[in-house]
Amino acid sequence: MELDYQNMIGSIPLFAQAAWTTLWIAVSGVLLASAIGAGCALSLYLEWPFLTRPIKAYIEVSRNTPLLVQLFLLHFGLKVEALPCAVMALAFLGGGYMAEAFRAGLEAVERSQVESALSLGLSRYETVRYVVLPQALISAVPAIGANVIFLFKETSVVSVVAVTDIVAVAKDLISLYYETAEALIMLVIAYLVLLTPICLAVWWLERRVKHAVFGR
Amino acid sequence: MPFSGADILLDSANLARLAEGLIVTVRVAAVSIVFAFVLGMLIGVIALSRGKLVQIPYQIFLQSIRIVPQLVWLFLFFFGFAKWLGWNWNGETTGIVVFSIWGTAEMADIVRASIGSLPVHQTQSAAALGLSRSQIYLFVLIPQAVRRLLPVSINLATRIIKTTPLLVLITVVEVLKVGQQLIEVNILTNSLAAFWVYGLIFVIYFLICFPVALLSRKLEARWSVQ
Amino acid sequence: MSDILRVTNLRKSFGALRVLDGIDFSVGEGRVLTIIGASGCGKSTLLRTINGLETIDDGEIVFDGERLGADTDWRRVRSHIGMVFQSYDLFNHLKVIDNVTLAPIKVQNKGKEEAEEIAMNLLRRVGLEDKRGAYPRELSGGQKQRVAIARALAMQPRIMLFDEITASLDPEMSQEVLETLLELAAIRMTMIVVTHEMGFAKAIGDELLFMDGGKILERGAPRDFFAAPQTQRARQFLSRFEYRI
Repeated sequence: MELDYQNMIGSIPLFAQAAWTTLWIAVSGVLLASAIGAGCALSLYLEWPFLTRPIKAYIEVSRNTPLLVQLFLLHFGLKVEALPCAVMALAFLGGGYMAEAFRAGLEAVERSQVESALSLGLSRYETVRYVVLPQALISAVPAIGANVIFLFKETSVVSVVAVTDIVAVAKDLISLYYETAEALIMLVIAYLVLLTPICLAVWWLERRVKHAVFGR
Repeated sequence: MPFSGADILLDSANLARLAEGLIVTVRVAAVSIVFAFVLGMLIGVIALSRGKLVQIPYQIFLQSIRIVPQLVWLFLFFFGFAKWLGWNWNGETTGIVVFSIWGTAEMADIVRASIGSLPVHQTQSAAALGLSRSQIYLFVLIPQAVRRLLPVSINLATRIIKTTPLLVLITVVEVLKVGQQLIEVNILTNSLAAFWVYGLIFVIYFLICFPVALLSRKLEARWSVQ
Repeated sequence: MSDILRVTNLRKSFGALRVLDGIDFSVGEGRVLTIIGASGCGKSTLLRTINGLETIDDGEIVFDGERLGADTDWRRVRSHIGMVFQSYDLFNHLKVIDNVTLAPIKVQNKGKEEAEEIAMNLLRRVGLEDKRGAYPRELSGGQKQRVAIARALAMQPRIMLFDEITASLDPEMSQEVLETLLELAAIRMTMIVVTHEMGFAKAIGDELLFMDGGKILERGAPRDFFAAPQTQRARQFLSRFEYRI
């Protein structure tokens, strides 16, 4: 198999630009998902009435449906524009996963920690803010990290709603110019370049938390 | 008319076609899950060995599969390997192969983790009671490993199911593709066709995955007590 | 001498289970009350009702002239009642010094410097000034418990509640912690001490309550109680400790 290196180098700007799109979607999706997840987990933890049932339902629905179908429904069914649709779907999916991660973290903080904070005179809010949340976040780090990687990889499907991400570029090169091998290799390289630093960062953070003296 | 366009779902011919697509989806998922579980257990047990000769290839296998999105693997096999190596695979076969390999890697890691994390004193106290090596495995280690393993592997099954819609991108006529076709036929007369058809598929996936996820959680809750 | 805490006819049930069945007692300023009894006799629940960790079904708790109940400003009351638990419950993510200063800074709005000065004095008193920068997981059980005591004292409470604080410590570590309590008694800190350590109960208290089945069966000077328990239940309870070698 002969590779057309000239061609591969020539496609770098296309991939680089698309990588920005992928990165942008992933980062905004992950940030939104984290905000949604933290909000859901916290209101479940504080047992806010009226919200508990809808939040539980949302978590189940978002986690038990595929992103691709969510995208189709949002874009073609509800006519949301491509780029916002990609971010919204990722945030919808990720929100459920992040909620579970935060919830597990909150549950890992023992009840007695809350009681001793209360018995010192801290209010409910202060107890959550200064005692529960910091510890919950520390123990949720591995799950949050896994979710970040998972969501990043999930962005690979957004080309179905006409977002020009790296998969879309590769698909174009294959179908328009038949540069199959070159496009596929560039596609893999693009994902390795995007994902390796993230995986390493997550792995590093996980180890730090695991061996940290401030852990549990 | 709040339900305008919903009649696309009331046409039995349409539903029959969606069901056909669903059968393809389920077939790919089921075959992949079986392969993944069987091969994953084998490789997972092998990966329990701490020798470098096992660990290095195992980690390369696992990490290289994990770091690339499943869609990229599908593309690599469908547009790449199948063509270059002269395999004449259609989309469905490619899907089964890719999901099986990915599932195998994940399953192997589940097996390795759930057996590897059993406390050593379990083996020691069983040995202290006079149990033989095979008895220790049969009556002490394997039952405990299964309890850790089963909820997580059922969860893996739902992950595989949720990955099947990717098949639409490599020309497989599964449920989502059938949905697309139905919408294309009806789009001129029914502007809400996409909403109803994709909405139904959304619900179908939920109805498949949710009970399985629930089962996994129930088992986990029941067995995590000890 | 004025009573800082007065409990009258206190009742509490968990479902059908009666945990506190008409409890009456009071604690005077600067006095030490010890409570003993078998597991499940209600002594821990009693402590927990005093600072509102458990609600009560009936009766009255009057702290410093104020009747405690559902509409109590617990945040203020709790800041005057120090409590130390069996499981230490230091805040794992905070250094020793920050464990001690958290509540003074957040609840009493003390400045960081002032709070740290108070904290260092207390850590010195419990013999742990060199551990100010350590995290809880770097401490032994006895050290953790002494930090927990310092943390509660930092709020300058009117009364301290100790809930079996040596129950998960080995004898040597218990000793460290109990010595800290004896020092507190010596400076006339008002305390309620729930304990399993009979020798300690004999040594520290001004008054002793023996509880069984949610009731107070005996009360009096510790020396009298141990010398001549009046009830069959108390004799049974005490005889169990004689077997211990």
